[in-house]
Amino acid sequence: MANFLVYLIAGTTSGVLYALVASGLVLTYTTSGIFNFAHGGVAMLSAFVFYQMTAVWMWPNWISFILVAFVLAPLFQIGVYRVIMRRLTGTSDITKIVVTIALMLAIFGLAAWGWPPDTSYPLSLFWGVTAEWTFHVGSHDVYLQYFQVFAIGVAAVMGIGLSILFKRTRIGIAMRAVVDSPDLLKLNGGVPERVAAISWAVGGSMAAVAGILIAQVQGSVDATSLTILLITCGVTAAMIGRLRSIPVTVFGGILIGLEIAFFTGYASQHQEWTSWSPQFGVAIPVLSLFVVLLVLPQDRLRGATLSRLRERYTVPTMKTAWVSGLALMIFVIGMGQIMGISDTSMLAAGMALSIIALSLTLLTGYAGEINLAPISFGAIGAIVAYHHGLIGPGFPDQRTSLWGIGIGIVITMVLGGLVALPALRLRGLHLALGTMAFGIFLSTFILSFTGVVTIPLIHLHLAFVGGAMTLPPVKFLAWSLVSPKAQLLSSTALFIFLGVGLVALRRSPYGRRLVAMKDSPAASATLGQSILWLKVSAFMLSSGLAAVGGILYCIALGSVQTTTFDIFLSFGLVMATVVGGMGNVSGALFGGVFFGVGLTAVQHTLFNLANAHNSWGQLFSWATAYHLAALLPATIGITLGSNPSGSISKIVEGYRPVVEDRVVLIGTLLAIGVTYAMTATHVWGNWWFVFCVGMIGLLAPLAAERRMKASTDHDLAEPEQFQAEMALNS
Amino acid sequence: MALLELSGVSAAYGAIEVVHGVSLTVEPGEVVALLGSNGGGKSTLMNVISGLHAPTEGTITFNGKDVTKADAPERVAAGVCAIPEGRGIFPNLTVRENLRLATYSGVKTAEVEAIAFDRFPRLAERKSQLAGTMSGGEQQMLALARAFVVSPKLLILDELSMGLAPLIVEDLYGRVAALAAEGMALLVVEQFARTILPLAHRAAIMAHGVITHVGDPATIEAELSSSYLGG
Ligand SMILES: Nc1ncnc2c1ncn2[C@@H]1O[C@H](COP(=O)(O)OP(=O)(O)OP(=O)(O)O)[C@@H](O)[C@H]1O
Ligand SMILES: [Mg+2]
Repeated sequence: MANFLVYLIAGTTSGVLYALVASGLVLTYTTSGIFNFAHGGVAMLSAFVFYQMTAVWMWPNWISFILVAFVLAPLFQIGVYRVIMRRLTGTSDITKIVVTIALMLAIFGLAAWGWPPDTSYPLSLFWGVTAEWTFHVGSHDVYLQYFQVFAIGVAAVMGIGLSILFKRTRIGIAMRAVVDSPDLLKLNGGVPERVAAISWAVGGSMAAVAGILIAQVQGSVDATSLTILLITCGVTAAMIGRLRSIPVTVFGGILIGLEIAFFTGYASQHQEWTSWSPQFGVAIPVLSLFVVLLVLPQDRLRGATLSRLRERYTVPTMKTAWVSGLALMIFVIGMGQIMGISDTSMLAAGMALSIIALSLTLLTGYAGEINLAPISFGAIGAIVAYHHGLIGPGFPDQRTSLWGIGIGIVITMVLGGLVALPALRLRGLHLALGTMAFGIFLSTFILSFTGVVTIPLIHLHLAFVGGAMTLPPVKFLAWSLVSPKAQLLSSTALFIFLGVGLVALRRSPYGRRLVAMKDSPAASATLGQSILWLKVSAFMLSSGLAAVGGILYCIALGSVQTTTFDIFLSFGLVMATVVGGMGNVSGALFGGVFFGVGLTAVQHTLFNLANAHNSWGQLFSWATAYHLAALLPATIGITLGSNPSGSISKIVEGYRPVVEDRVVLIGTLLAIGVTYAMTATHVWGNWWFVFCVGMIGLLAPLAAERRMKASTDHDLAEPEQFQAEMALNS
Repeated sequence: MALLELSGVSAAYGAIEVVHGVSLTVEPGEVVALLGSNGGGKSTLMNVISGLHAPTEGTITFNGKDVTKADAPERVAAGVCAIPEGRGIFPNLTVRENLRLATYSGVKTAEVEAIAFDRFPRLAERKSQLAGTMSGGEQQMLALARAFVVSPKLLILDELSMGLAPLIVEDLYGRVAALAAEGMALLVVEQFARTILPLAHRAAIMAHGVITHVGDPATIEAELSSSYLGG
């Protein structure tokens, strides 16, 4: 009984805080139509700033709390709204999701920059742990901390305040009106931008209060665990409220808080559960989210969306696809000649990531659904291949068989279908949340069992034995693809093969049906297509692609840990791919290579340049280079609002003048040739090559543009000159 | 002095110009009917006047002031009230909440409800219902109620009749006539010439982005039956 009360109090305290996070999510979603994945990030950042003020600068708790929660967080959110979110009107759900994820990653980068993750940042409770009331229940003492009363009180006041705001005040009513029609609100005399900014500000306050208080409950500020906790609990509670009802959301938050408290509490009393129970904080909300997705009723189908959306893709011809593939192969072979072993295997890993990214081209670009955990599906493929596909004697002569890869693909496809089925009935956002939950569940729960766990009946081992897994090279017919170069070339060939295959698929009747479904689910349903089957088949195919990529990725990396499949890495890959352009195979190539190689290359380049030139040392220490580079994709992702079709097509567009201007074209090729020769003859290192080619790539379009401008200016100038001469003559 | 004066107004969607240098005036208290075939650019022109759509060329003067650069809320404050094409209501808000948003004009909540429910007793019966679940006619009553509450200098109506039964349209235009009788200037876009022309002091025909005829309703009706309705 005493235990029961303890769990009840603790569960309610965390529960109301989850409810607060979730209500903030619902608030911004209902007022802007944007599901803000960065919401948890704002809460986390607020906790860090609060830590900085109280623990480092020794400011009083109260002043810091009020300053962060009611001044800084709202200002930050208003800035986010004005700079980023405002530009997202008229973009697809997917662009909105990706932009907020980019923002979350950027916040992560900022937090890691200011508060490096290798230190811990302890945060104590307001009034301390021992400030409490004591009650006697039977022969036991039950404690109620001042903090707990305060947390519940603050959350209650904010929750009730929000309800009143929504229902009773004009600004609150306008917040709900602005989603339906900002134009009509304007015609009533309201200013939609102001209304939206206020709702983002209020949402920021709610996130900050929850973040600061939950960090105190946890005892320290830890970026990853705090954000994951806030995302899973907040998202689940918000989904229980169907992203609409604040009261039901609050109920959902408290429910999850209680579930976690009771399960963890009782499990900790039983020996056989103790190794599992610390993960319950994430596992329970994730499982609850799946249940919610299963029981949520289906939405009405949307009508045509094409006219409203700004994303546009062109489908390449088969010939273009083959020619581009050939060019890629030649390029990679050329790179293979000059790269060292470690760079080669890094590029091989990047190529494998590109194959995982191809799964997004199919699922997102063609079918209009999104998977936020593609690397997790790749992990399933790799784990299955590891358990069922190893042949030959032990290390180093062991190989991964084609049979193992095949069974990895099949099982991933089946599992993918099962995971996606409940969410696919619903809207794109639900699949995004469902896959994200799956990824978090996999990396923080399933993969955290390092002993052998066998699921009865199926006899599958779903565990990393000893915390790491080493997938040996592939044996393909008679060849063993052992050297990094062989892996790079085979991965590239496979990427080209699959990429061209996808273009063919897109041009087939099946591909046209996918695109028709994406453009107008309602219309294609009336045409007699089974939408659900189409979606599930697309999701299964894309899971299969992810499995292939996942297996090759693990082989290229050599040894992988559970952190290899961290959900944030999946986010990064998704984002890089969206930036490249989801609708095209080239976008997947860009996504994988940029994410797998480009980031590291930028980091190494900055770092090595700093080393080579001592005076730069202060400018780019290793840590700053790392975080600056990590901010890069986030920044590009954030700009997506203004160019939702991705950057690659824009970049290609930018190079058109280069190709058309003979002089610049020849000059560019010559310059690249010279840098290649210098690198091949070891005059300088590979990082200089990367740097120089990058610079040439940046400068060539600029030069071409300048020349073009100059020549048109000249053309324009001529008639005037002619007239002037005429005037002189007469 | 004209209440509203458009001179040489053009408007475009992206690179496609759909309104080409239109000039038009509305005098204080005048009812002007704007007729014309589908896709002629009428709704676009109405949005330009209400401030939702920025013109690419030309000037708009309202009540003696140049409002070309003013946004929609500023024009509302200056005395323009527009009920857009389709249903001019928020479907996911209740009737009362819809009316609450009319208070941006400065009228108090209690007063808004008093006026609206007095004019449209039907709305009082349904005040807690979600506006989107009401019948089309009731929705248009709610949209029109805003005009009674705000009593603007100029009321813009864009196809109030869209999708409604003739009897309901007649009833709605009875209300509109009452507004006109109070001395409010009206600019009314309507497909059904026979409903609006009897109310109008002046009428104009718009086709392919230009105003082809302006004149008194009788001449315009004759013009219509020869060129537009007939052809
Ligand atoms: N949002 C938009 N984007 C692009 N073109 C548009 C848009 N809205 C209207 N148009 C085009 O502008 C032209 C004028 O449209 P508008 O709606 O102003 O005509 P209208 O006279 O009101 O027609 P109707 O009588 O059918 O309401 C049409 O050719 C239409 O296709
Ligand atoms: Mg119209």
